Amino acid sequence: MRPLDRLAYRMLIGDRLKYLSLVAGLVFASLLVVQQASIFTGYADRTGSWILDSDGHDLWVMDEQVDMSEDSKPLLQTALSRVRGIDGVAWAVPLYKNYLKARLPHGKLITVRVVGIDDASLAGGPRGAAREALAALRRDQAILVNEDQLATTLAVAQPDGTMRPVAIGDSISINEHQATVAGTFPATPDFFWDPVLYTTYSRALAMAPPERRSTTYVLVKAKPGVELGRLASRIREATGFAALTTEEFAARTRTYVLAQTGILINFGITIVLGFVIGTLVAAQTLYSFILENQRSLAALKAMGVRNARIARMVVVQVLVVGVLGYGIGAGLAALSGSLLDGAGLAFRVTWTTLLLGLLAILTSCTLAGLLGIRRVMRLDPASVFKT
Amino acid sequence: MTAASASLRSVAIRCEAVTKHYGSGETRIAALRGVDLAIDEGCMTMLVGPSGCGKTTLISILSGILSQSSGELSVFGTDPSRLPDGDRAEWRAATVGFVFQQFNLLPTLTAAENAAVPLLIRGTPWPDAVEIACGHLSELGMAERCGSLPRELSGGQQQRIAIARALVHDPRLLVCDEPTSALDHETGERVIDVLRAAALRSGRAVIVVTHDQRILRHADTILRMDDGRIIVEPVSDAIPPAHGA
Repeated sequence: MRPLDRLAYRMLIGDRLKYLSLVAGLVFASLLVVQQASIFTGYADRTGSWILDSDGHDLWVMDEQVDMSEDSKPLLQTALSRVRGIDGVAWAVPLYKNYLKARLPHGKLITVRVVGIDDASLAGGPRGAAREALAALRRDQAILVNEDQLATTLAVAQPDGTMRPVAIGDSISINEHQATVAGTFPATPDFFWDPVLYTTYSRALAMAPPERRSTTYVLVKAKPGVELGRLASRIREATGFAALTTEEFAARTRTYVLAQTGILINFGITIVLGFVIGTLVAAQTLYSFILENQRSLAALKAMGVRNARIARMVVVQVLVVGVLGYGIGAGLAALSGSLLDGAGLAFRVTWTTLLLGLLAILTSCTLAGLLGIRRVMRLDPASVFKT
Repeated sequence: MTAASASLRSVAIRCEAVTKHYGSGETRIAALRGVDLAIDEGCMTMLVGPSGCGKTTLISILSGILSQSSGELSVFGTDPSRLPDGDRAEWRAATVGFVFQQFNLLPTLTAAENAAVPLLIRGTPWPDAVEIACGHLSELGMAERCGSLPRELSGGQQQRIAIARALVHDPRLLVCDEPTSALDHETGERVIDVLRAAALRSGRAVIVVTHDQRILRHADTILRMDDGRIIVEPVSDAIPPAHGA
């Protein structure tokens, strides 16, 4: 470390109270920025959970106007054969998805998302489901339920008033059609809260109110060697339907949810507030620190320290408190996310979040430092002779 | 100082018709109204005069902190006002040692670290600078207090740190603003002896701004200022010299 950099560091840490309050302010701001950004990322990720959990296919074919995974704009059943006829398609199967009313064994009425997958291939089923559980869908009236919701949304009240998880063999009435829990599947935590029940496509159609259009998605597997982008273009040209990869569909859903709900604005406001609070705290403390030290800084200028070196000293001080404050704040944010993980909090720390957070905090420190530097630049070194 | 010895000395500082104005228009104030002076190498010059007479402005200009509005200046052959800002700062760091009336010690540094600041400014590694500074503090009777913080020391001890800081990089020009104001008579005498010893070395000069009449007898030259002018130059005959010159 250069002597004057060390001098700047010593000046900084000399006043412990001021130093700690400066770091504490930045810790708080960093914690707020990183934590809220990570919760936001976690929620944003969850918007595509159901899509990403679906297994076995390459493309989702859907009505062009579908904005997201929960937006049902069914296609005519002829869509399936039209897609199957396109060059490069290895196979294509229908998938039904809709919100239906379900009555639990103890009579409680809830809304569920019923997903009907191809009877023959069971393609599009939940990625995490065991082979046996998926095969159980071939049984009469069989449905699969999300294991995370067995004891929560799908819990069954017993005669003594206590609740128990819904179990294999329990009957659930879906839109007045009897269904039996035949198995469970693990699923990635989802942004949308209504339970997902998997059954076969034909059984889902039987449960759903009769509609002329009954295919929500056509799931497509490309032939080996076929480039997915080109296949998607061919499908679009031939049918007028949207054809998206799993990642594209998840991204479309995420974009729509973020745009249509207040989630982006709400989290954005909190993140910006954290940034502003950090800047104000850092600016106020750094500025008062510089004010208190201006006589010392003026003496240094009189003794021959160039303005640029004085500015560098302020930058060193800013960097020390900025990096330290951010490191502790980001660490605390990660720790809080880890501790709250069991409580189902959507929380995902990414390198992007960490880098942007660091950038934000350093920017806030730099803004604060600039105020101080401006003051120092204007310091009259001759003031050291004044009493 | 004898006439013969004076004639052998070369001039360290020369001012010719130096003026300094602050502000402009109706608010223009003349702090220096044409100062002419010559200060020899190896001399301790004391600058006296009432408050507001221009003493601070003059030492600020001589030490390269301020630039004169007009007039010619030479400090060991250099007019610092003609140097670009960065070079002028470096010139100060290399050429001038300061003793401020308010000490201006950095409160978070130890005595030795404070005294080492001019060396640190010039890039001397921290441990080396502190060791050299501690040696200077020892010469001022502060060997035991090298590791003390300024707040743990008396005003006199803080002044000695300030003096050690002014001398640590062996500057050619020492500018002292009321260096004995916080000291008792005995300590003041010791400080003046140290400053005098610094002045007496070849190629050096010491300028002391003071109101302390007790120390004037140590001066080789006394410059009296009033209303932005040197009104008597020199007045060394007015005060009996203390060094048997």
